[in-house]
Amino acid sequence: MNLTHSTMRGSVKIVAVGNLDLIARGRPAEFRHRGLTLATRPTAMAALLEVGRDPDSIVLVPTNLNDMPLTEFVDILHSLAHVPVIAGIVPGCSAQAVSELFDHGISSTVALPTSPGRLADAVRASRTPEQTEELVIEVGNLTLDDARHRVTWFEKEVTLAPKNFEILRFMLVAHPRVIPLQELMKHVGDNPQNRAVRARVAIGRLRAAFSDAEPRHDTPIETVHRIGYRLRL
Amino acid sequence: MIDRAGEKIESIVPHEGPGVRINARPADGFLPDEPRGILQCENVDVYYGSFRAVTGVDLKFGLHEITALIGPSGCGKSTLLRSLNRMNDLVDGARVEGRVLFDGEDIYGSKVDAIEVRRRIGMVFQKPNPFPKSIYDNIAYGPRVTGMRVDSMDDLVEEALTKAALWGEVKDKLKQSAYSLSGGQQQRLCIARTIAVKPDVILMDEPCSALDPIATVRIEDLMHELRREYTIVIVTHNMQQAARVADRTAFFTAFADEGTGDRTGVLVEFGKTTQIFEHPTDQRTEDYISGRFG
Ligand SMILES: Nc1ncnc2c1ncn2[C@@H]1O[C@H](COP(=O)(O)OP(=O)(O)OP(=O)(O)O)[C@@H](O)[C@H]1O
Ligand SMILES: [Mg+2]
Repeated sequence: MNLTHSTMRGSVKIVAVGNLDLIARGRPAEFRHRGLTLATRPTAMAALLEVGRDPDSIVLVPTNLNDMPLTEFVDILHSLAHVPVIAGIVPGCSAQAVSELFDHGISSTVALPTSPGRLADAVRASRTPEQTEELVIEVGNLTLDDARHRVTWFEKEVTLAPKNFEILRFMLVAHPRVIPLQELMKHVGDNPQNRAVRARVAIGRLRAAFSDAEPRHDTPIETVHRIGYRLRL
Repeated sequence: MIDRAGEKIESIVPHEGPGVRINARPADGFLPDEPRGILQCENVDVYYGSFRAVTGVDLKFGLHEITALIGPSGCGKSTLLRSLNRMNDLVDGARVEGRVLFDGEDIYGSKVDAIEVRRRIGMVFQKPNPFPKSIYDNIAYGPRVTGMRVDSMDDLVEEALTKAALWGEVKDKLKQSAYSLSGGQQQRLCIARTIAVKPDVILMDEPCSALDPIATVRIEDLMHELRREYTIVIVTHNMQQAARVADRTAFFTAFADEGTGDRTGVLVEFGKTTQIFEHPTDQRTEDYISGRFG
């Protein structure tokens, strides 16, 4: 395998900075099978040039990026290239550093080196719902039908207000990642006031809707104490 | 308008005790890490007969701050609130242990006049409860029965209604029955009635839960105004309301006592409202604020 400059073909192109060995585990066919094209570039600058050629790509940046400050690179990617950025977490990276990256607008994270499956999850989580082609998302016993605005849980209909539907859709697209409160707060509408409480209350409303629909099952929303929430499906 | 900032607060013990000068909260927006408590619970337990409804509460209510009490039903929020102005004295079998200090003095002290405590620490209830009298008489009632020295009752009525943001709506119909007002207006009337006797602290037990959203916003705006002059403690089930109005929030829950099986309320966490909703330190707080309530 060519280690410094390699491309695996699929329909979503991911430009990763660094050495392929440190970024991904798995055969090219597995990535292709997940619909991913993984292109690695040795430096941040080379990756930026690649993104310039292909503005529909997604950038994967390892947290130990060494040729420029990480948050600065993330800012450049957002302001110049307008592409989603996934942070590749390398061992030893602090939770605070990750939360800082979310403040700089990264859209998801994945632990490095990543398997094709986890990378595909991170890519799904990094796309805004509008970009998601699937109209019906189905994970475990939960289905969300975007076009009909319908959610079912163990085949029971879950009644949700539009705002809470949006939040659930966002959580589902991000599944199985833990969504930090700070990130959830970006999805509670435009009003900048009291976002934290609105995010918490939305989670409470979702839980209530799930348990009203199907009281025999625990609601699928799990609290990750002091961090955020995730769907357990 | 009287600015009570920096004013001398009279002792609640009649004819005794040097009043202490307390400075108002500094410029808007600044909230000290620790509340400058004007009202304070020290290891407070409240019993109804042998049933311990609340236990071990240590809490400081900051001067010119709004403090919200939140928590699941039955955790003792109303019970604790009523213990802050001796309203529990009126409930058969109710008993308070520990100390509730108002401006450094225990309100349950033997020399303390409970009526005076309730004048200085007023209470507004969940359901607006005006008297079956005129709007004017509702306001004048408190000053009259407490024998307040009043130069002009008309001025006092106007001042209280103005502070409660009701004057404009009622100034031409002061002689009409208080029952002719809408629910939201009645609640503002009750706030005006509380203000009329010149309290320092206003306790509010779910003051908006019987009101529509527009009336609720008016009361919340009013609370922000009132905070300049008064210290406010509000019980609410609505967490968004706590986030909108309160400087600090205290979260209570109830635990089952192993011996008696009683469900007794405890204070779990107290802090600045933003901290409670963004970074609660106790898992029970986090579970509650994103639980099925709210
Ligand atoms: N007068 C009373 N006599 C006996 N028990 C009482 C009395 N008032 C309240 N209790 C009990 O004390 C406990 C606390 O009640 P309290 O009304 O203070 O709770 P709360 O937190 O205000 O609840 P809610 O949110 O439903 O208003 C409950 O178990 C209640 O049944
Ligand atoms: Mg109550």
